[in-house]
Amino acid sequence: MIAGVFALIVLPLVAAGVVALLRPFQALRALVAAGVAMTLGAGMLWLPLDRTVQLFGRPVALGEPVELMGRQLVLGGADRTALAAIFLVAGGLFLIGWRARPGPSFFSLGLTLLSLLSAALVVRPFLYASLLLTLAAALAAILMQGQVPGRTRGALRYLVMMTLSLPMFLVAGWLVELYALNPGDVGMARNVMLLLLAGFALLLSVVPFHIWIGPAACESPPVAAVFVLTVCNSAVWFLLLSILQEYSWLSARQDIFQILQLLGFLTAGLGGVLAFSSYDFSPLLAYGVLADYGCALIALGTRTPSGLTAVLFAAVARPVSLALLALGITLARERVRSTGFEKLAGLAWSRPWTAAALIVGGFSLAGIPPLAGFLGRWAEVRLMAATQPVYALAMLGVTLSVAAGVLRGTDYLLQAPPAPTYDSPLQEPEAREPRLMIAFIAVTLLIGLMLSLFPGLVESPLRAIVSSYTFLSAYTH
Amino acid sequence: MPTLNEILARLAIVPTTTALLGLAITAGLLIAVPDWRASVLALVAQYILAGLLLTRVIRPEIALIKTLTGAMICVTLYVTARRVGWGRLPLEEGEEPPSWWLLSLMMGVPFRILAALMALALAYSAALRMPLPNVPLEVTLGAFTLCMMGVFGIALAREPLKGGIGLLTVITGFEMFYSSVEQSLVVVGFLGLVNFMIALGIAYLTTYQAAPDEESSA
Repeated sequence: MIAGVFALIVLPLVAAGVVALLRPFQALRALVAAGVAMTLGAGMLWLPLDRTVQLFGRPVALGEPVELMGRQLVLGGADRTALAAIFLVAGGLFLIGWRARPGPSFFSLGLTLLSLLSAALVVRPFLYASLLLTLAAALAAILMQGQVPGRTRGALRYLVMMTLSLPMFLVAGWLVELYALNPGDVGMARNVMLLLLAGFALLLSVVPFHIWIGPAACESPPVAAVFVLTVCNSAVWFLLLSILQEYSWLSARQDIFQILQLLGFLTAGLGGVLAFSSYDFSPLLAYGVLADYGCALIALGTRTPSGLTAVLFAAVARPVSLALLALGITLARERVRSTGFEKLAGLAWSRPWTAAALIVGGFSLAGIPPLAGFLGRWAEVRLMAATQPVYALAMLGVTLSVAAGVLRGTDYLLQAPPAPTYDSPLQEPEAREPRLMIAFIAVTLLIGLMLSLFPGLVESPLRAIVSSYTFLSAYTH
Repeated sequence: MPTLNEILARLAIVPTTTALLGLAITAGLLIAVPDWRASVLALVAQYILAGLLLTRVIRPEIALIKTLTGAMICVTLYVTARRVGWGRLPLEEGEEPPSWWLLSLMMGVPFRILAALMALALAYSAALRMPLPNVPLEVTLGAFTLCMMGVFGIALAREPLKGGIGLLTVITGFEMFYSSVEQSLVVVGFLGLVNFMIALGIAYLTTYQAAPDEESSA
């Protein structure tokens, strides 16, 4: 019998090896990587967790726990949906990577990352998860490096931040074991909380540990940056939820959620301010997503099922917004080697799909209706308006700040194209936008539109995830 | 021929003060000296001294494994730095290199020495005020020194190689403490793998950093 957990970890690794061998065939690599990721994602969604099924003549038990070197690998109900989402998003990004110049090792490293992230989400206790996440971070730093030779600031900072979180988790893991022997030690419980908060602040790029996001967005291939900002980030979110669920004494503390809210407020605020002052779509992507992370932390801080639902809605919409922006940025960099607003002036007239991707992706990331990002932002604002109106106002301010940055970019994109001058009468005709990229943009736009118009499509799986986290009902405002 | 345990027993007689002083000097060199050869050599020495101090809290065999992992990391970094010619002065053909003291001033060595001394003072103060549980004071001092120096090294680094060496120094300092509380071989193995993967990441970034920037060369 094949344990589903093993398949999750081993299959992406095998596929990574295969994809590495297919190096000259970019299309084939993209299709194999996307196929494996999407198949595993679909399998996570549809295979039953509690019984064995026959797949290709072999019995597969998805929920079968596995013991490996004395450590348990367990796939729970929430982990399963989380992993499904992670694999499906990764599959979509692999497909986009077919044409979006994602860097030489994107597919093989991406698949290896999927394997490590899967292992991190199913392994118990969490100190092994932190070790696996650090291994993943070292690979992600390589994955992100591939667009601008000579510039490594973003990747190095990312590696440093993720690695510095490791000591926090390892010591917290040790203290958790001690606390189990001495549950009355209030000081130890507080130390565990502070260590975990510090670790997650580093992993979730909370202010002031966000310093890698801006340079990474400018230096990395956009699709690779989006992979790290969505796939790797989602794994961290689910690890946080898993720890809160596993240690009820930790999630029963009110201060952990209050601190998360405060950190979220600072992150969202800074993200909004920096996005507002951006004159380039790459930093706009970085700071827009920073603001989005902050808003999600504020919502989680309510410790309510509605709060977590809002967080998950935002997590579903984020890859769509970021994928659109990544497609637009890739095309803009191909055309004018820049994503600065001034360099892109008038681009909408010659390259409408590029402009559409940048504008719609930007506004969607900001959370403007009727785009995908509105799905999460509206849920967050509505929740906060009912419970903590100050945070609701802050979220609205952040939304408007990011939207103002995008609006400025839109203004440049829609400017009249520069008239041909007599000095350069024999200008080369504008190369058309690649059809494949147009198709990717169209499909992503469609997915975004579907999400915003029919949120019920994702609502039931999200509610299923939320219902599996019982720590949420432990506290009411 | 002496056995491994005999060799380790002989090495264990290195006085603690000497080992601690050596750690402070090697970690200080990592911050202060821009030369890559000196940095990698200092890192090797640091792994050996950390291993010696670790023999006071964990089994000598495990300390040896950690030192060997460190040595392998240093080989990786040495080969990378040598391959990309990192730290070579951008001199024209026939141009005389500046004198060593002028070069030191240009590289900000005096400031870096001050920073290293400040890190050392902070580490010493922190170790005395917040002694780590489960380890003797000398290991606490060693751990704080490496962590503090590593953080300063990261903060002052302009290139991936120096930043990465700072990061590895932080992890080594942390391991000096953590090895005493968690002696599971799986964790030891994982930590070795993490160190090695970080070194690979740094090696890749260093190579990439040395590649010419198309935009700036255009």
